[in-house]
Order: sequence, then structure tokens, then C-alpha cells
Amino acid sequence: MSIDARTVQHVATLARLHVSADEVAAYTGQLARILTLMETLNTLPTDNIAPMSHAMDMVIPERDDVVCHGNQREALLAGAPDTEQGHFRVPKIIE
Amino acid sequence: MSPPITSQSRYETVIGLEVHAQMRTRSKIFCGCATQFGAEANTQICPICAAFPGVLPVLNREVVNMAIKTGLAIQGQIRLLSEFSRKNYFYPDLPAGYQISQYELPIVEHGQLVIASPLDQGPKKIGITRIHMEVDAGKSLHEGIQGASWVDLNRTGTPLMEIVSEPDLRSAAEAGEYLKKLRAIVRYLGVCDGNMEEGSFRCDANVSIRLRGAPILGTRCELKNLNSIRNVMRAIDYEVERQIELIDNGDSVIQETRLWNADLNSSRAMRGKEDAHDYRYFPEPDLPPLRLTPERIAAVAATLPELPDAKAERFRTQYQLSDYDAGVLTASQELADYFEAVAQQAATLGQPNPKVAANWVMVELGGRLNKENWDIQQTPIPAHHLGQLVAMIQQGILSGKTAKELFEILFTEGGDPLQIVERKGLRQVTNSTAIEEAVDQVLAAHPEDVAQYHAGKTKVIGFLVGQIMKRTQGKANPALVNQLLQARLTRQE
Amino acid sequence: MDLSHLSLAQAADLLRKRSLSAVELTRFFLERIATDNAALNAYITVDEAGALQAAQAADDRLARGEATPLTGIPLAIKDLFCTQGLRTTCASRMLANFHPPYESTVTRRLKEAGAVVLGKTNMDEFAMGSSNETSFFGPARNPWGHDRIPGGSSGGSAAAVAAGLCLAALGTDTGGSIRQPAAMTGITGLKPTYGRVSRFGMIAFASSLDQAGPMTRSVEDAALLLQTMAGHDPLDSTSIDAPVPAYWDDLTTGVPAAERVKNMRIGIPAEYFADGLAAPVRQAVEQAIATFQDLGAHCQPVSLPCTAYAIPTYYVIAPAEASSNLARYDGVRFGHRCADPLDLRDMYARTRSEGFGAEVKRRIMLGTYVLSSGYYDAYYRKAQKVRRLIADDFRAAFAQVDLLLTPTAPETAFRIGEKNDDPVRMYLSDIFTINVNLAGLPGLSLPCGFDEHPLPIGLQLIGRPLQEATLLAAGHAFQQATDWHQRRPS
Ligand SMILES: [Mg+2]
Ligand SMILES: [Zn+2]
Repeated sequence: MSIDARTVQHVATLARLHVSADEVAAYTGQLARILTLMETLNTLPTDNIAPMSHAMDMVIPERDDVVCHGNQREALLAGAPDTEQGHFRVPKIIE
Repeated sequence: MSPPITSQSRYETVIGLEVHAQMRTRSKIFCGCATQFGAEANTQICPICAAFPGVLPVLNREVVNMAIKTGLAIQGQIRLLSEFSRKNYFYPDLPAGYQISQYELPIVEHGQLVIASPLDQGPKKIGITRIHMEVDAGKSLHEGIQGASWVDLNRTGTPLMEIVSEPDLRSAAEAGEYLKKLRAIVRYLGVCDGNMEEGSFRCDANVSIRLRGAPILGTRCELKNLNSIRNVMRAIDYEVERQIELIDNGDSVIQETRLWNADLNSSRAMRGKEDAHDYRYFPEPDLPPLRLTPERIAAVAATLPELPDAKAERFRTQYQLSDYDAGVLTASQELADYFEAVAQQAATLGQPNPKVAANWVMVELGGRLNKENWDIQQTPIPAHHLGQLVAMIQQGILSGKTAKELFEILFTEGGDPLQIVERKGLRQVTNSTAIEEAVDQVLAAHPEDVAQYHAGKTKVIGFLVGQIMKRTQGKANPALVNQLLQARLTRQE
Repeated sequence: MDLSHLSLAQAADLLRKRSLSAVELTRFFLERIATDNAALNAYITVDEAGALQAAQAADDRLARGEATPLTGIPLAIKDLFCTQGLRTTCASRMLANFHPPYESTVTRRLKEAGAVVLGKTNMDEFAMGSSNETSFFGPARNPWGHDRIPGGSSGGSAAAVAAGLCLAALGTDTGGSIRQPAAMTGITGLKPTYGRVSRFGMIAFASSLDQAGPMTRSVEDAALLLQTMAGHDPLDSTSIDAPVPAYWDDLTTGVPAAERVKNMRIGIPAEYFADGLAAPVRQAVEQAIATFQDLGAHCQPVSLPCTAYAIPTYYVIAPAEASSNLARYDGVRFGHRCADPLDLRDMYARTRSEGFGAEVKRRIMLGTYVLSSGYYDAYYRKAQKVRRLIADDFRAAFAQVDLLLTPTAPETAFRIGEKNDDPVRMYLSDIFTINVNLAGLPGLSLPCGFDEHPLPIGLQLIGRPLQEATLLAAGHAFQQATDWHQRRPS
């Protein structure tokens, strides 16, 4: 699979990254090289192999349904770039 | 606008519903924050649900149990192995930039729900494709804020069940029936409060039309912002008409998300989502797979309450109620419990007649609550009081009229029904001497009517009865009045 | 006495005997940092006030006789462990001013044991890199040659330990980020079994691979730190709920390590000694094999046939997870936000493009691509399947042997800037360490020699899941028989 500038631009949009024309060109080359490396995986037959998502064979732990803390608003808003009246403030969202 | 689709129309409507039901847990799905509705902005958040760097999710056991419960209630298959996945997209109310949800392996699959088909074609099975667990997003506020939006993350991380139906629904009315039934079930189970206005039970509708009998589905639109069952139905009807008009005009339907505006009674395509979504689902690496044992599922099954269908069936047999009455009375657990308490109280005091109890609960109380815009939990009349009222009717202590009088007092002021009856003198006159006296007085006062009666105009009897009831202040037993009046008139002949 | 290279046990002994106070020891390191850090750029943040306060508290505790062996021990912490109130940057412009309102489980445990945090060490941005060159705060330098990389991503921790700017440090390892810099700087680094140490509060790179571990001057020191760091954490759903051995006590007072190495079966995977392995590295590692044989271990060849697939597998899985993990850096709740965003879309794109460096963006792009519609099966699912084959290789090998011995890295520390033009060349630095993360196994890197410059060479021991004690015993026996770990840069 090859990667072209349009794909790179699309991926950047999905990832919410702003990329200049120069960067698109650079990424296109670099990603193509990395993807070539990845294509070596295709030489390995894996038809009946189960995908491995976790390093260890574990089962999800479950916690009790208990409320364990109260209002932390001040601490959590303290480092926010922009706040107003107890809210995080962002540019106008248009639906 | 084109006429709405009827069974004779060339088009067939195909509807699938996605319901997001907030689960009634104390804490959020992956952290220990409270889930209470209506708290001050951002006071129920922590580094975990607000997705600060380096924090990790830990699953709430109750969420799993509630999902199993719901899955069993819709006769779904509970997967012994399920997994959480990440659904990736950017939005200010989604702090992690991904929603923890379930994708390839949801906890419940292949369920179903039986609805009463509105066209009276009998019960209809609606398939439920899946139920999965996921986190709710926060809320963005736009109105009245200058040049910005505000983000409140209190709702972030509230556990949701997404309940996805098969595209088995064929009309807005069926969609309405499905939602009512589903909402009743989650309420019966206690897993969701079903409140559509507050957003704890939300519905998105996927709507398409196709030529009747066409083998493939048409292009569908997703309708959002439907905050009542009525709005779901109105929005579907509007959408169906919109799509028919497009197709009839030679245009085609574009797959899009449309926002319903209840005030304008119309929908519009959503902006701001112009790029096609590519959610890049993958298994959540922070959460190992969920493995359930048959023992655990059985333990949850043992806690299932009697569900609406089973209860309605029991009401039909145990109380000899009609399908309709049984359906109405089992619409909610609270109403059903209330009715049973009324019927039981009435039965212990008098001749059991559940039909009378049912009428008083559905018609008198139901109508009165409706007027106040209250639901059954807000009724000012305790069930045992209404039960006493019904018993007194059955015992002949109250007439229809005095019963209504008592009911109104109970509803507005409350109090002990017996004491009120005595204090207000509502006890029905069953003493025939007193009634005969009244009959004589009325006949004496209305000789022309008596004459008309004897001339064959027997209709005047209604007027005469009314006069007698008036004279006894409605307390006379109507049956007895009739009987004595007839006897007296006959004797006069 | 030169305090800069005390072993943890020696330091604990001096502190307990009160022949040295924790405040004195802490001041000593703060002064060394003041003198030497500028040249090495090992620390991003030095917390003088916090360190002295903790040292004072440690002295009080020592005086009360309630000390643990870590009470009063000055440590350096990789700058991706969230430390409450203390700036935690992940070496990124994105978090250049982030002060977490919470503490990572690992640092909390160490602090509760009385350890003193000197500061936060340099690293590759978001732990993405093998040379520490991707740091927003500039590269850290190798104490063995200031024009050389210290390895990465835990390069600052490695440099600080090697140069005596702390007694020990914390690192994290996603594809070799503890072991490779340990090898580059001549120190000891342990990546525990996945799940042995809590990830809570550790800023995520690739969640299914990340694991924290000690970076020290000896195996013994590593055992002491691990003993406190390890253990089940209810805040981490991937944390293993298994008892934690008293690694250090067992090593120092249990069956002598030399005894335990006798008759140990050590597998030598042929695939790790292929072309591309620098000659001095090959020689040093072969020498180490000979040492183990002298100690009575049985070294035998084994095969890990899927070794060659580790790099491409890793560079699908790690960036995929990272692309998702790094979506939370959106300029809404914390961290960098671009100035005067035009609209929401502009805020996201500019915030993230300004906040992240080139390598981080490259990996986000790569990860987004391999997960995107149409490519998931070809890349991501395929890589997950190969990951299982790689893990199966190890399982098969461990049916025959108790541990595996390999080089840690194919070559010694390269020059800063040498591999910047080509990401693939850089990625090959981790060729021997990555599979260990994919399989979730514990891996230990030990110094085993020097090349002609001289630059340190690392040896890697790989164990079965949760068999850290076996690795530590073998490593300790090796360090008792050799003195490579005692060499210091001039
Ligand atoms: Mg959903
Ligand atoms: Zn929370």
C-alpha cells in the first residue's frame, strides 16, 4: 500500500494536526518508508492466529459502585487555558 | 408536502432506533464520581473522567450487572467474553478524545421486544441487535454565551447502555410503541429512570424509505435531538415525508445527521460534522477483556422482577381484566403496584371486583393526575384509601356520585375515607322508607310528567329519577330508586 | 567519601547510623546538579525546596526509628510520572507548564517509603524516541561523551544515574526506553513484567506496552527500588494482583546469587547475533556468556524465529495506541492552547501542531493511519496477530531455558544528530528490546564492557513473566563476578 499527499492530509485532519505543504511532503516520504517496513508483516501467514491486544492474559477487574470523592473543580480548572464561571471555555461550537 | 405513508402507499418506511439509556448507578462507569443530575458545572469530575494525563479507567461492577439484567429482560444472549474499545473522535465534551465503548464484542446480542402493533395486527417482534456499555459525554453550552461555548463535564463518564434495534420498525407509531415498551422495561429493572426530557433516555432514529417490496434499504438519515416519544414520532413522520418528496421530485436522499427542532416542527442537517467520521475503533488497551460466568449471569437473572408482558398476562387471568386494561396498568411498575394495592384493599373489605378498581385507577385517578401533569408516584391518594373507596362502592355505601365527591376530597385534602363519608354524610340512602317518601313527593310535584308516563312517554322516568336523586342529595341508591319508582307508577295504573 | 556513587544499601546504612543526614545527602546532590546538569541536561526540573523538605521529613523519620531502606534516598524521576504540584512536562511543549493535581502510584509509593525526589528528568517527548533528541527541552547528553546520545527515551534518568546526579532514577520502557539508555550509559535498568508496576499517573505512550522500572548503578539497587515500586494497584486495571517478593532481601540475604546461577539454563537466541551487530558489542556479549558459563550456568542456543517482525509490529501497535492516548491534548482542560483560535477546528489543529514535536506528530500520523478505515485489518489487526506469534516464540523458548541472554542494543551510543534524518534507522536502535515489550516479559540490561571510545555496552537478560527475581539473581551474580557496573565516566 502506498501513501500519497492526499492521504497524508486526510490523516492529519483526522488527527487534528495542522500540516504545511512542506510537512505533507516530508511525512509522505517518511511514512511511505515506515509502511514499507511494515509490509514485511504480510509475508507471515497469520490466518488462524487470534489478535493479541494485551500483553498479559488478564480479566478486567471490577470495582464497587461507590462515590469516592467530592468537588474537585478548583484543582481541575486551575491549569485550564481558558475558563469562565466554573466551565472550560472553548471557541463557539457550531452544530 | 406529500401525504403520509399509508398501507396503500408505494413506499415502505424502515426505521431502526438507537437508544442511549443512562444507568442508575451511584458512581460513574470508570471512576468514583457521582452521577447525580443537575449539580453545579464541573463539580462532579475527577482527573479520570476529565481525562487528565496518565490516569486509567476502572470498571464499575454495577454497570455490568445492569447490562446483563437488561440483556436478559430482552431475551438477549449475554456474551461470556466481551471487550471495551475506543471510539476516537475530537469534541470538547469528550475529554479523552475517545469514547470507551464496546464494538466487536458487545455484552448483549440478539435480543427482541414484542410490541402491540398500532395497526392492530397483533403483537410484533422487534429485533434488538445489541446492547453495549459505554461512557456518556459531557455537555457543551452555547446559548447566551458571547463568542464561545462552555464545557461542563459532570455528565462525562456516566454509564450508558446503547440499545440498538434492528431496522424492523415500519412506522412512527411502531417506533413510539417500541420506545414505550423499552422504557417500561428499563424502569421496571431499575436500571434507568427513562426520563427523556432530562436526557437519561435518549433516542436517535435511523429512517429510510424504499419502494414497497424492494430488497435493499434506501439511504438513511439519522435523526437526533428527539427529547420525547412524541417528538420521535413527529420527527419520523416529517422525515418520511421529506424523503418521499425528494424521491418523487427525482432527487435523492443524502446520508446525513439531522437535528429535530420541536418548536419549528422540522429538522435540519447538522453542521460542523462535514468530514466523514472515521472512528478508528480498536480494543481499549487499558482494560482487559470482560469474562462472565454462567453462575454470575444466573445470579443476576434471579434478581429480575416480573416484567411488563408477564405482569399483563397475570392481570388478565388473576383480575379478569381486558387486554387493554392490563396493558395500561402494567405500563409502569409503580402503576401496576398501585393498582394491585387498590384491588387488594377493596377485596379485603368487600366483594372483590378488580374491574371497578381498574376503572378508578385508570379513569378517575389517571384523568385527575393527567390534569395536574403528575405521574402515579405523585398521587396524593394512598392506594389503601382508594381501595376503601372502591370497597364502599361495592358495599353500596357510596353511589357513583358520592364516590366522586369522596374522591375529590381525598385528592385535594386527603384524610381517612370512612371519617369523611360520615362527616360529610355521603353514605348512600338504602332505607326504602326514606326513598319512598321522596318518590311520593316528586310524583306529587310533577303530575304532568306522571300523566305523560301513563300516556306511554316512558322516557320521563329519567327525569323523575333525577328529581328523586336531587331530593336525596344524591345519596339514594339509584337501583333502589328505580325499583321503587317503577313500583309506584305501576300501582297508579 | 564520594557520596555520588554510594549504593542504596550503603546510603541507607549511613543514614540509619546517622553518620549522614538526609538533608546533607540531598544538598550534596542538589549541588552536583547545580554544577553538572547544564552540560548534561539530564534534569528538566529540579525541585530544591521539595527535596529539602522531603529530606527533613526523612531525617525526622530516621530519628524516630521508623525508616525504610529508601528513607532519605535522593531519586530522579522521569518527567512523565505525575507528581502532585510539581511540574510534569513529558518533555513536551504541550505540557511545559502542567502541574498535576494528583500523584502517580509509583512515585507515591516511593515517597511514602521516605524517598526524596530531587527533580524530573529529561526524556524523549512523550517517551517517543531512542536518543532523547526529541525533547522540547533539548537533548540530554551521555556522561561518557557529551556529543553522544544517552539513549532514550529515559535518557535524562540514565545520564543522571551514570553521572552521579542522583543515587537512582525511575524510567519507563515501552520498546526499550529503560534498557537501551541503561546500555548506552553503563548502568543497570530493569523493565518489569507488564502489570508488575502500576501505570496509574504515568503519562501514557502505548498503554499495552508501557511499564515503569528502576534505573540504577547495580542490580542490587534495582531490586531495592522494585521491591517498593511493584504491586497491585486498584487504580490500574492491567496491574497484576500477585504477591510481591522481597526482591532485595532475597538477593542480599537469601540463597547467594552465585548459587542460584549454577545450573541455570540460559538461552542464546541466534537471531540476536545476526549481521548489523557492532563487533565490540558482539565481543562483549560473548564475553558475558563466557562469564555466565564460568559461574556454572548452561548456555544453549535457542531460536526466536519472529524476531525480525518485532520492529514493524511495534511501529504499528505503539503509534496506534499513542495516536489515541494523545488525543486528550486538545487545549481544553490543561496544557498548551494556541493563541486566538479562529474556531474550534483551528484551536485543535494549531494547539496540537504547536504543542507536539516532529517525532510525536509523525507517530500520531502513523497511528491514525493504521487504525483508519480500510487499513485496520491490513496493519493493526495483522500486527496484533504477529504480536501473538512473537509472544509464542518466547513461550516456546522458555519451555527449554530459564532466561535469555542477548545484547541490549546493536551498537553503542551514537552521536547526537547522527540519525535524525531517517526515522527507520533510529527505530532499529530498539531492535533487541521491543519484542520483550510486545510479549510483556521482564528484561534487565547490565553493563558488560566498553568499545574503543570507550562507550558502555549493555547485556540484556529476559525472563518469564513475573520472574524478575531470576533476572535479578543472574544479574547480581554477574555483577559480583565483574566490575563493569562500577566504571564511571571521567
Ligand atoms: Mg453510542
Ligand atoms: Zn470522575
